[in-house]
Amino acid sequence: MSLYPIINSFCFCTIILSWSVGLRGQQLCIQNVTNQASVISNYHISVELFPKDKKAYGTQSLSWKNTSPDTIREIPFYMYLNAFKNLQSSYLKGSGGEIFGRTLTNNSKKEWGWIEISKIKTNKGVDLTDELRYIQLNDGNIHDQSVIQLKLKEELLPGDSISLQMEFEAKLPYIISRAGYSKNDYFFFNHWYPQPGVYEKDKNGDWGWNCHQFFRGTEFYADFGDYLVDITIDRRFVVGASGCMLDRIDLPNNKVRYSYQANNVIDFAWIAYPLFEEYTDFYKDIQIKMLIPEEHCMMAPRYLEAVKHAFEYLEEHVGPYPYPSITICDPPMHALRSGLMEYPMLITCGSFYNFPEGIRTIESLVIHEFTHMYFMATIATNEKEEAWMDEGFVTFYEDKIMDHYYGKKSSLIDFYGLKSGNSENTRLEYTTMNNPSEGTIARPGWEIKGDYKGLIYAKTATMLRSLEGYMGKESFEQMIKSYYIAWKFKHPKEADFRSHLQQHIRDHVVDYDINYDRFLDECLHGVGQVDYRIDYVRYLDLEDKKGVYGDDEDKAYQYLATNQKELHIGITNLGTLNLPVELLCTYVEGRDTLLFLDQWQQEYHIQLPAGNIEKIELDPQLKLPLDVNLNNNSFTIDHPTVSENIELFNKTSKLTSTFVDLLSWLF
Amino acid sequence: MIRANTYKIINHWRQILFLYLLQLLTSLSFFYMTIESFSSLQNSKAFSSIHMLDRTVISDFVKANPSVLGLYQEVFLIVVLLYIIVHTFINAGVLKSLQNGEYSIRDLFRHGAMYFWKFLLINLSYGAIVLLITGLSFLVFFTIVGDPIIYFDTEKPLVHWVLSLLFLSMLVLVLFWGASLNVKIRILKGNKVVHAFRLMFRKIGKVVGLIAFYAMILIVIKQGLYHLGDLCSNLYVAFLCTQLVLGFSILLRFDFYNRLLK
Ligand SMILES: [Zn+2]
Repeated sequence: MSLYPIINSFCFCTIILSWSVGLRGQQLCIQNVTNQASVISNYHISVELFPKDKKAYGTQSLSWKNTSPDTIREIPFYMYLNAFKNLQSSYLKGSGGEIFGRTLTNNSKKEWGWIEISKIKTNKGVDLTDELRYIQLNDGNIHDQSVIQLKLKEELLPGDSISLQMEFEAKLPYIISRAGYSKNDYFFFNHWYPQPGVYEKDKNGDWGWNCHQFFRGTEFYADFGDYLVDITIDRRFVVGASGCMLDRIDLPNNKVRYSYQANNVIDFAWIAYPLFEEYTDFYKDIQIKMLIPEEHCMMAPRYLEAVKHAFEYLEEHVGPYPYPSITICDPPMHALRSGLMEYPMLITCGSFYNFPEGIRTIESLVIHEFTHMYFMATIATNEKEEAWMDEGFVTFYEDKIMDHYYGKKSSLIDFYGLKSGNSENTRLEYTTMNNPSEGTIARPGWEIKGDYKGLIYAKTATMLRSLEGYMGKESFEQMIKSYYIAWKFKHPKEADFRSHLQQHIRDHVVDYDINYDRFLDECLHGVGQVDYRIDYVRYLDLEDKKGVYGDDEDKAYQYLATNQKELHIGITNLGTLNLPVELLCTYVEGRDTLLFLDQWQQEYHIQLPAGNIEKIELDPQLKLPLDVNLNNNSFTIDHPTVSENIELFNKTSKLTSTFVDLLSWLF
Repeated sequence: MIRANTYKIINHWRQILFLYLLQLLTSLSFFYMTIESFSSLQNSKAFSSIHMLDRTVISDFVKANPSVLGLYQEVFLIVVLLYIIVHTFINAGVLKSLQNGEYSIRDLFRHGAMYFWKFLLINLSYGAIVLLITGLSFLVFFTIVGDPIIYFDTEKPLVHWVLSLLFLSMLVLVLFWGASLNVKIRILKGNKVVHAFRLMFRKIGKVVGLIAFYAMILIVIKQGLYHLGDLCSNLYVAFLCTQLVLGFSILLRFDFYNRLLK
């Protein structure tokens, strides 16, 4: 029985893919025009891969423009492949030689990776090779070579550009994380060329270099640039890269040279593997290239469908996709450590032979990585210092896309009666953290020691749901759309996002006029969690309060006239993060009262005129999913009905009987 | 033939009812435990979502009441153990009654008690053998392969290896099933358990075929009825459907024994 889905999906994959290739295969990847204002670095790199040595030799001509008001005397470069040079690098230090399930202590020489600049000179021919020096400004670890600094012989004045000619060697490690080589000549090149840091204003408004060493849990941060990359490689390789392929020239000795162009991107990555199958598809005019090993071929239609959903949703709710292509690489099992990563116009995902259709982690992950094309590649926030600004937003949209296309309660898992939604799963990743109150969200990646994913991905995404809940869907969407327009191809920081939000609130209507700055302060910089609970619901007899009180005679009289009773509701936040929350009282007569509790208090004691209460609900529309226990948010006077009990019994007995059946077939 | 079998099954209504009630009790024990453990939610809106097996409700609940999980595990283990023991007992009685054509509950108990230990031994040795096969297979596999990621180019052989392990244990299961039937028959004539296994090989085709056939029927009915039950707005219909499947699976089991004994 289990063979049918395999055969089916395999055939489907072949048919659909060959159709799309046949129909649109001739169409080219159309390069985007660069807005030169945002481009600071321009690269022309020629590189040749020597598969036996796991090395690539490259020449790079780089022009870098000083857009600051300062005079530049030195330029630091990322040399991140050196993180894999030895166990003393800041990336591997403290790992005890064991990292991401790999033991490195028995590594042969071939298995380490590095990058070396053998020559660097200006385009006027001034040799600067001796002016290179490794620096370790973050941790002072003299063994770390992940950042190298070039001392300029001539000062670079504001507005001036410098052109540098470099020769370098990139030796890939046996994959530890992301970059590396694996079996059967699998090569994944990222952070593989010397790339300058970012000269920018810091939080205090002072200009300086932002060029951190490489640590675990941090990624990349660089200026926008235009790239022209020539890759010379054996003809047997299937190659994928950021950007568009402009040209392919056959060379002697069974070699070939591919020329790629990627404009207005913060990085350039490429991948080569002889065992990839290659498929091309399109979303509108955007080229989708899929590189997938034969054994995962049945996943290709799932990937393509999911990515097209992401295209459609993000173009509608955030903004147009700013690039001409996207390359999706599904690594083989042995190279899974290079999976689940995002680079401009190139993402890696992860799947497994014959993975069940009802478990949609494959879709969820590829949508996640694709969404990084918006939050990371286009809105290029600093992943190292403010990871929440890309991972949080990306997870938020991953949830939205998954729930929209695959069903709110079953988008992630719909497998033999087990169901889970993607956003539901995200919230639970945060609530089931060992300590959901642990630490603040807004801090550099290397400072977070606990559950990085729970905090940066899940808690932030859940917080953004609340933000959307209070602002209202429409207003939030407008805010994001204008944020995207204002900050694409730039490097916004937390303060930029917040001032954009403030501006939006001043100019637009929002559902609830709360103090959003305080909201973000509590969520991003506060430590804690939310757990509102309805403590008590009581009727208070007013017999002994008869009479006239205070000045508000009408009100007091009204109390006595209606029911001689008063309703008291007690609410406590068991957590420490006090955020605004809605309270809905539904009366049997059908009317209801909606209160907005926005006094940022730990406890609320509410008095309402009496009536026949049917139910009292905190946060009835789930605008505050940050609340770690939703079960104590409501109080219904009605106990479960007979039919509800029978339904529960029915479900229980279904489950039990399935299990009992299994047992009775066994014994 | 079919009609004769149907009559024979109908004549066993008392045993079938007995087994049905047994399964019902197992379900009820879980139902009451679920109600009981979630009773603190009685005044919560969340309570009405439990029947949906809502992941959020359950996770939030377990996170707030971590002890519940332990309780479930304990009760679950006890129920499984009890179920295996009782069913072993009943199976022994059912087979004997079917062969002798005696249909009383009294006989069911008497014969159950008579062959209980032998049947339990067969069931337990099944578990032991499957554990042994799996353990040995893992040992051999990882001794030869080492790190499968380095040894294999793709995960395909891994998947196939796990599937063949599953298939192997199913085959062993069928063997034991048949053997327990034979033990019953042969013991009456004074033969040994080992001999029963030998005989079993002769009937293996029939046993495998029957099991596959009934499993298929059951899956089809189950999917159909459950689906109908889910779609039905009337909860009572949904409830009845569940009970019908429960009853029918027992019916099929009787028919299986019946046919094999022919
Ligand atoms: Zn991400």
